[in-house]
Amino acid sequence: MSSALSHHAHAGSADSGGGSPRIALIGSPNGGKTSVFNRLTGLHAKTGNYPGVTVSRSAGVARIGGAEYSIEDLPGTYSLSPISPDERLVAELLDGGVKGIGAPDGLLVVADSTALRRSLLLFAEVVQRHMPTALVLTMSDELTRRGGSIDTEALGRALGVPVVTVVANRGIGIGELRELITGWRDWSVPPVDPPTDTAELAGWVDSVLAAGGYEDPRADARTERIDRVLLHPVLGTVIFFAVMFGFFQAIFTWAAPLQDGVEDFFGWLAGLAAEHIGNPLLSSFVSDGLLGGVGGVLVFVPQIVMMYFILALLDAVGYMSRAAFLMDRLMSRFGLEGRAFVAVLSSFACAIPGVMATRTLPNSRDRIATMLGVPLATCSARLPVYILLVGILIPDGTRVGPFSGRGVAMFLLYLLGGVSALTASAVVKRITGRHDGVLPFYMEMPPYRIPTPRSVGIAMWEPTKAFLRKAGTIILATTIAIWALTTIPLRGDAELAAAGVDPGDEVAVTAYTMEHSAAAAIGKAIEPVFEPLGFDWRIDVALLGSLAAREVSVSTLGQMASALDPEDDSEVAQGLDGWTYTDGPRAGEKVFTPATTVALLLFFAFALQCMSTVAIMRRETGGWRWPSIAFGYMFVLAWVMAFLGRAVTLLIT
Amino acid sequence: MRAIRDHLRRVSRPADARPGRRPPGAVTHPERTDDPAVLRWVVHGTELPFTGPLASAPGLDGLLGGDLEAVTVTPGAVLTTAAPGRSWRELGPRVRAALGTALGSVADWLPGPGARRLDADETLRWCARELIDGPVGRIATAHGGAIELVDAHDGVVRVRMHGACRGCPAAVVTMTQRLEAQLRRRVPDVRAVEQA
Repeated sequence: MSSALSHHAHAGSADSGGGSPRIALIGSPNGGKTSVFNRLTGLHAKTGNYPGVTVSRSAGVARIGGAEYSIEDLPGTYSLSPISPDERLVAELLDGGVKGIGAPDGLLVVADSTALRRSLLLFAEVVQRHMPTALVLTMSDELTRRGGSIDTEALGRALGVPVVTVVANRGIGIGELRELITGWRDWSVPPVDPPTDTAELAGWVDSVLAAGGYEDPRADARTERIDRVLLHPVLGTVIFFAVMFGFFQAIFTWAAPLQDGVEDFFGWLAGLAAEHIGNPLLSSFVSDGLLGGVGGVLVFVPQIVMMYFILALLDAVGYMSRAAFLMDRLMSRFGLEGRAFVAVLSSFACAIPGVMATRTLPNSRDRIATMLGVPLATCSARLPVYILLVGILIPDGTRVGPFSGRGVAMFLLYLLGGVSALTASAVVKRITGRHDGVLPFYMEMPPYRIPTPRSVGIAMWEPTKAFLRKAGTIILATTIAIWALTTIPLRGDAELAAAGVDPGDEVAVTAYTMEHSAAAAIGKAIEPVFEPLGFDWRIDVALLGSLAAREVSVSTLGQMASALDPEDDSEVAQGLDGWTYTDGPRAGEKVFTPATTVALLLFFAFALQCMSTVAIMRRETGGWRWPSIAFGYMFVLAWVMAFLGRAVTLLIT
Repeated sequence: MRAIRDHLRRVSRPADARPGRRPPGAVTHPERTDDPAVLRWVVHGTELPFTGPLASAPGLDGLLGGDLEAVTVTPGAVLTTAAPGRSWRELGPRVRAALGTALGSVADWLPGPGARRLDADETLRWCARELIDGPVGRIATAHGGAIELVDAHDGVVRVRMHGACRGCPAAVVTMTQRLEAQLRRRVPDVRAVEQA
């Protein structure tokens, strides 16, 4: 605990950049706060988490006239009387109540000028903190387009603080804003606090707006026309599913060739390394451990880039809030809100983008619940495993009515993934939320906008960078660890020959090395745990291998089944079909009986056999607590489900 | 619970962010003046009965002569002068509440010595003078110019530009527009600001 504290204290002092003034941006979600932040800090932002909570924190440095200013983009908030954990965090932060992060020196309230009335309520609460405060009005171009107006100077006089107008996505007014920041010490605190009494406050807001010559913008005609179609109960839902189908296709199918490319490239590099490095241990380390690990990380990048590109585009255009609105009814049955749908959907491609997509949820309790559920969705890494096992379980040509038996089994497995993911989230939400009251659902429908390449680019690049940097290290370390466990110690030719293995037969050598490796020792050691499920030590090793990535288990099984080409599923299946127990009371019996296969399928369906997901959960939640809980509960669930599946299969066969 | 969610969702549409019914609170806010002891409470939606010192008003009587040294009524605003040693942060909320009560019954306000009701032209001239001496004039000064109020009659204000502003068409246009816009917010029946 003390080390965690000192770590945060260190992070805090690093953020303040050795005493440079800390200016915090505070404003409602979708108010243009992040655009302002990006303009001020360029691409020098650091993202992370606030200590102890799953609220992401982004801080950056603005260099203005030779001086440095730390700019912090606070989580979006409508009010300082908190109703969500994010809002509570903002309130505590302003009071200096967050450990290791002092109260900021100055506050920039960022307000959407098309919804100024509401923003002034937040402003009224903020200036009561008596800190140097200034107001930034965003989206003034849209205010003008929709027939509204504001007299910035008169508004500043009425509020008693400096006011600047910006159009952040086009860079207009940023110069004045930077100029304003240099004079943060002179930002005035109004002589009298705005009222707290509701009636007085309403009168104050009206008076300030009247003095500032504020004309409310007309409802956006273009937005209303588009919404009549996109929010239509039938048509809107159809369009929504079409959009989501496209989204799913993009990250599942269009990214596949790129992923194959990445895989092939690293396979080629690994081949080169294996060919040109003489030392067998070093060669194996470089080709299997290092390049295998790096490739295993980079293979996710096309999916992540593709997902964030589409998410950023849909969000910038304004469609995400509509999609969330349409799905809210369905998701609320599971105790989640509409925005969680995107996370669940993405996890059908991969749990990593799914976990990362939970960032769009404004409430951290929903984020945790969704994050703990989404790894159960049928991700693409489960697909090769399912194809292999379903191939063993169901003979080719089996038909269920007009459909192929294997196809139906696959469909059921996908359905199982979706239902269990949502159910798990619902249960987590129940458990974590039992002390909380009702959290009101507040979602804005921003007008449709044409996104700028810059904003989409930043929204796409930031999470990708974070993935590469943080998850990359953990995935790489895990892959190398598993490589070491399955490979070390290397066997000399003499030892191989003594054991009756032909040193020239690569597959046989691999099989021998693996059987006598540390991993095998572990596999045999944990055999009692999986014995009730019918798994032998080799399946246990495959399960260990699948911790790096589920697909690895297919090649691990393949290697151990001594198939000629471990990547070819049909040959692996044949090899496994003839597999028998090597020792113990069941020696000689067939391993892949229908009961064991069902158990293994169910185990893969429920277990969190993916260190990458664990790594990304650690990153997103800022600690090991939630990933440990996720791993633990899914392991128990998987074991119980596999056991039940095996028992039922034994009964009916 | 469902009803609350549905309700909040309806409320969250931007179109609903507009004023529907007038809230009961007084529509006023304080602004700084050049004198830190004097605070200017801008009043909207209530016509003030006279211009000049205030002798007595419901609500404000408790503060007048004690915490407040003086209260002066102007068109569209009430100036309050704090007694020496008082801080607006502490005094402000009480003045706000008192003013709220007072604005509820302006008919009961009693004028002090010299206070009287201004006619339309006088009100217009007063407001134009206040803007030219205040925010609008300050901008002209910052650009090396000056504005002189010539007269105000029948909804038309005439001004004369001096210094850098004189002969610069852009300055003339922006200054008169700015003055006209701000004036119209205080005196709705202003027709035009013209150059003399």
